[in-house]
Parts: sequence; C-alpha cells; structure tokens
Amino acid sequence: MKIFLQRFSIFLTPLVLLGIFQLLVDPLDIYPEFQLLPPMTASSRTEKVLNYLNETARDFDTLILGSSRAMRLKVDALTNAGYNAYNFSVHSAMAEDLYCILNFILEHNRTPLRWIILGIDPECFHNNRSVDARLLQEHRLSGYLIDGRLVTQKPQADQLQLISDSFRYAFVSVWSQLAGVEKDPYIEFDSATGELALLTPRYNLLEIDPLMATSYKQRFAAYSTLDEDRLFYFDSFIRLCADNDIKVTGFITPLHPQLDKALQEQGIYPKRLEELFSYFDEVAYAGFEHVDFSTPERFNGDDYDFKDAAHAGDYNAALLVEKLLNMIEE
Amino acid sequence: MTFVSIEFLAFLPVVFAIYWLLRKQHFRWQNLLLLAASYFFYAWWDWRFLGLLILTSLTDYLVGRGLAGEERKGRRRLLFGISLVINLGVLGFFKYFDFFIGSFAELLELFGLRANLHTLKLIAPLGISFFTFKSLSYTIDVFRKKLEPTKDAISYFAFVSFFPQLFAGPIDRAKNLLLQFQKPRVFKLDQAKDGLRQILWGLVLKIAVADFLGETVNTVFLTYEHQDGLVLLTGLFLYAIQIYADFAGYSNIAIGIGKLLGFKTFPNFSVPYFSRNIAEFWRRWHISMMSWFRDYIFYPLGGPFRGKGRWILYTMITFGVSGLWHGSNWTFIFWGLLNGVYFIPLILMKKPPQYKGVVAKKSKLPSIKELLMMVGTFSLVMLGWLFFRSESLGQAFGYLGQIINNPLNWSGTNYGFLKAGVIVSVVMLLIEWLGRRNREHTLQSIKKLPTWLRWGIYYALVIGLMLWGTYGNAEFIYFQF
Repeated sequence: MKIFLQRFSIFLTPLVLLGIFQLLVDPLDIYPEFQLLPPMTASSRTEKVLNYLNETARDFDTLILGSSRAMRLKVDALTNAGYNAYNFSVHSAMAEDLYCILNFILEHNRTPLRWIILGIDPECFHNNRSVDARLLQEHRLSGYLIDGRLVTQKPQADQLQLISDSFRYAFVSVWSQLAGVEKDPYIEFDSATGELALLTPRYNLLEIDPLMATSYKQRFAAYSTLDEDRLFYFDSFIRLCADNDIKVTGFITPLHPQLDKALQEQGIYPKRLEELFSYFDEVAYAGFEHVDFSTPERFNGDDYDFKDAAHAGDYNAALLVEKLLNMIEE
Repeated sequence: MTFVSIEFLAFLPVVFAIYWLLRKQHFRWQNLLLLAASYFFYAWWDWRFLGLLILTSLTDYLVGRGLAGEERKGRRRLLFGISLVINLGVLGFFKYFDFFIGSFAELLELFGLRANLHTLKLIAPLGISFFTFKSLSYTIDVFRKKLEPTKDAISYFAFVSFFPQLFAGPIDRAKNLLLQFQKPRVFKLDQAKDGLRQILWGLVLKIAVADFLGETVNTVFLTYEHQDGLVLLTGLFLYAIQIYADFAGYSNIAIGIGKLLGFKTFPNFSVPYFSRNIAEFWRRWHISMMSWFRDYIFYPLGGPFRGKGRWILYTMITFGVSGLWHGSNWTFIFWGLLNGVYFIPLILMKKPPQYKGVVAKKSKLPSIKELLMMVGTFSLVMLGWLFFRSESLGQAFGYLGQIINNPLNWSGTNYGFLKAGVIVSVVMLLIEWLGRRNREHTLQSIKKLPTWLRWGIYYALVIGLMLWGTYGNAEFIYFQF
C-alpha cells in the first residue's frame, strides 16, 4: 500500500504542477482574483464577455448582435455618425444567444441602449441544433436561459470541459505572450475595429470552396421548421427591447451568391426564409424593422467581396452599415 | 455523479482512503462503507429511486433466507415466485408500462379502434435492469441450490448496490462477487496498478473516442435523408466504434475501480470486433449479460439439446428478450431478433466452427480468410447497430433505403466532417488489435515495458485527455438500459 501511494504521488506531481500552472495563468478567468497573465481566450462567448467587462466606460448606446457574419460589421461608421456602438456578435449565434446577451448587456451597460443592429441568420431558429456548448459554458450568459425552453433546467457549466479548455489555453496564452503574436487560428482580433471600411481593398472570392457549400447544405438538411422555443426566445428578445425603448433593425445576413444558389437549389433555405418573413409579418413587433440583405444585390453590394462563402468582405460590411444607418435615419 | 465528473474525482479517493484504512478492522466495516458509499452514489443521481434499490435487495435477501433449509418444493417455488413477481414487476412497471400501453393503443388503431389509454410518462430508474438482474441471479442460484444463501445482509446489500457496477454493470454474479464480499480483502500492489491502468484505458475509450465520435454520429443520423451511402455507412461504422468505446470504457472503469478496492471481476468485453463469426462475437461482447441470458433463459428453455428446430426457437426467444431488456422500443426487439437470425446458419451446420482463442494468436496479422470472416461478422453486427441506434424502425429502414438508393454522390456530399472520426476509430482499432492477446484489457500489454516508456505512455494519455478530451457528456449510452 505504501509503495503504491508513493509511486502514485510521484506520478501525480507533474500533473499537479501543470494544474498550478493553469491556475496561475487562468486564461478563461474562471478562478477568482489573481491572474499571472491578462486573459487570452478563444473566440468564445467567454472572450466576448471578458472583453466587454474590460471596457472601462461601458456607456454604449448601440449594439451589433448576431453571428460571425455580423461580426464583420465595424463600428467606425457608426461612431462617425454619432453612435457609441459595440459589436457583441458571437460565433453561431442562435436566438437564445441573442436573448442572453441582451439581458447581460442590460445588466452591465452603464447607459441605456437606444439601437440594436441585428444580423439574422435564418439558421438561428434551427429546430435540430442544440444550444451552443460555448453558451452553456459561459454562466454569465447561460444564466438567462429559461427553464423548459431548449434546456430542461438552467445549465451548470461543465466543470471538466472548462478546466480542460483552461489547460489548453494556458499554453496558448503563454505562447502568445512569448512570441508576441497570436497563434491560435480561432482567435479573431479584428471583429469590431479596424480601418475605414471603404478604404480597404475588396476581397475577390470568385469561387467558393465546394466543401463549404456542402457543409452549409448539411446544416440546413435537418432544419425542417422554425423552432418554437427559439421563436419564443426571439419574442422575448424583442419584448425586452420594447420594454427598454430600444429600436431593433434586423437584416438577413448576406451569403456569397454561389452559396445562395446552392442553398436555393436544395430548397430548404428559401423555405425557412419565407417562413421567417411570414412570422415577422404575422407578429408585427413594434420597434422592430427588418430588411432582406440575404444576397449582395439586395444592398447593391459586390458579389465577390466575401471572406468566404458566408462572411462579407470589408467593403460589403461597410456598405451594410451604411444602408442600416440610412434606414434608421429615415 | 458519473465516472467522468468532478464529484467522482473527489468521491473515489475518499472512499478508497477510508476503505483501506479500515482494512485492519473486520471486513464488515469495509462492506458497510461500500454500502453507504454506493447509496450515496445512487442518491446523488436521484434519491427517490433509492427505495427501489433497497426493495430489490431486501426482497432477494429475504427470499434467500426463506429458501435456506426449506426443502418443500411448493414452498420453494412460492418464494421464488415472489422474488420474480417483485423484481420483474418493478422492472416491467418502470421500464415497459408506457411501451406496452402505447403499443396496445397503436394496435387497436390498426383495427380502426380508438382507445383512450394514457401512458404514465415514467422515468426508468438508472441501472434498474442491471441491479435487478444481478439480484435475481442470486435468487435463481439459491433456488437451484447452486449457491448457499447468505445470512450477512450488509454483504448482500453492498453486493447488489456496488457503486462501480450500479449504473451499467457488469452484471457480476453472486457466485463471484458476493463471495468476495464475505471474506477479507487484501491490498495487492499489482492488482491496484492494473486497476489504475484499466481505469485509464476506460477513460481514453470514453472521453477520447466515444464522446469524440458522438457529435459526428448524431449529425449523420439526423441528416441521413440528405446523405449518400458512403456517408451513411461511415456513420454506421463510427457508431459501432462509439458504442463499443462507450460501453467497454464504462466496463473498464468499473472493473478497474473494483480492482482498486480488492475485487476481481471477469472481463465484460474481449475484443469483440475481431470475432470470426457471430457466435464468437456474442461470447466477446457484453459477456456478463450474454452469459446471464444463456444460463437463466436459453439453457432452462432447453438450450441446444432438443433438436435444431427448438434450438432456433430458443435462440430467437433469448435474443428477443435480450433486445427487450435493452429498452422499450421495437427497434431493440428487432435488433435482438436479427441477431438471433444470424445464428440460424450456424445452428443448421453439421459442425459449426468453434472459435475460442483470440484471432491470429501466434502471428501479427490475420490470414486473408480470418480477415474476411472478421469483416463479414463486423458487417452483420453493424447492420444490427443500425436498428439499435435508430429511434424507430421507420428511421432504420429509411437509412437502409438511402444507402441503397443513393450509394455515391461525390460532387454533392461533404465527406470532410467524417475524417477525424475515422482516424480516431482506426487508431483505436489498431491499438486494440495490438492488445488483443491480453486477457483483461488493452493496456495490460504495456506492463512489461521499461518504466520510462510506460510512464511516458501514461503521461501522454492523461495529458492528452486533459487538453483535448471531449467532456460535457458524462452519461454513458448504456445508462438508458
């Protein structure tokens, strides 16, 4: 027994040291107080929450919300137009993400919001996709999920997954500090800041990756109807906006014309889009207007200014902001 | 609390420490500790069902006591009947009531009758099939006079509720496990080390293989109507690996924990996917369950001794019941019967081949014949898994139809999302192949390696799990059964 315990303790020692290293670096800010290095996280909900909380003023009056497609919108043009905007878009945002983020912002922003620009991906009402694990992990957001709506009970962050992520990003953090560059391809720094959009060169994506098209088709394959619970979250989101006198301008996020064509051929995407518009018309929310920018031609954009099949290039993104500004000013 | 959770990481060392601190006391104290720990473990999931676990244990303990020294046949049968009624009644009520009511209503609807029948939407208590069968095997053995009934209630209750085996087996028989509860356990260094190795391999199977594959498999089954045959066959292959890694992973962890506590349990899996025919597969897959069905259903019915016709009938009954045991859905019953059908050619053969030792025991690679036989057996098993995994028979046949109608669609299908899963599965199969000669688990092969290399492998596996493991799905597939 003694030998067993001795050997096992020796075996555990390096693992414990690794644990201490992770605890000190604490890249996901999951342990209280002391941090050896500034938080360096994945492009997760946690990163967004931390970045937002690290903003000193937190006096934003305009919010950009949506998925990675809305992340492409830069706040500069809004700033020039007199709005103090913040882009809180998160990867693969679903309706429940929007609701949780809005609640979080309402609780932590120091000035009232007056306008939300909402990038709407039709997939955000998918009836066969579970709640994003990154939302479940981020308790500061997932705490706003509603029992019985997509989740049977309020989720607890999966501690083991969180610790495992923390171990991995502890190494990424230290490497980033040492090398001075970001090495993780999933970390995106330029989501909401940068040069003036119209001055940047356009992308020239003539051909999209066929794999990307098939992967999008697959995503839609199991999307047979708008999910009731997700519509409920969306209703709650809009109601919350109305209660707080926030105007919402929603736009259907644009796809590369080739991806749009592939999805039109498959037939599911246009059906869901149509249902979504009918739903919006049916409920006719006060304070909510929406516009269909699902292809570049709908906002006079450039057919080929795309980073990839579903993410607008800088030119198209700037043009979107301009169109949305015009809408609100009219 | 499951094996892959923070709570269990704290629970196990505490139980282990107190358990061996008690080694100088009478072993009853250790049993009492295990009983308390097991009830705590179960109550952590849902304390309300603890009563059922106690009811099952109490019934069979008292029936066992009643059978002790009782020679009157009628009286013995009555006592045995009481145990059967209570055990199968509880199991049937919680697990099958809604299923039979629903199926009956559907049957009436076929004849144009509308029945106003209500299901109770019952939750099946976790592990009920496992602990009921475990306890029942004791009563049957005592009834058959193959086992002396125990007087020691604590031992018996601890045996039925033994926490490593509580949720998903192995269904260890009283003849093996209960007898170990009734004598002092001695800490053996080699056994404890091997237990840790087995736990580690179980965690690798669960976290790095089964849970990693889970999402891909779910995607394939969810979108099967839009996939081509190649994707669907690959998805089925991945599911075959997932269910093996999940269940064998659980069994390895359970047996490994047992070893840490000084218990010896028979292996529950023995490289089943390297079987040369279906009979060999069922001797290597979920061994504790299949031997239960063999000893308590197949042989009592008549086994292979009453002509080929009856042999086939008893095989079909045994596999049908085994399917039903897995769950209250026609898909499981179909899966069971399909496996029964696989046996028919073997039964009809004059001299069916008997494969007892592991394949390619003395060579590195199998012969072409052996390889073909393994691939053939694996394909049959995979077909069975399709029904096992599907939510309805309609889905299973739809899936099959899609494989046949749309075998290949190179230009319109995304195959990329399967790549990582296939690599992980093939690597796992290769490791299992290398370790196939081990009697108990794959990592046993490394115990003769030099210490630095052995420890290097342990660290690589542990750190790999810590950094890249898939967590968040702590439940094992077999928990639902």
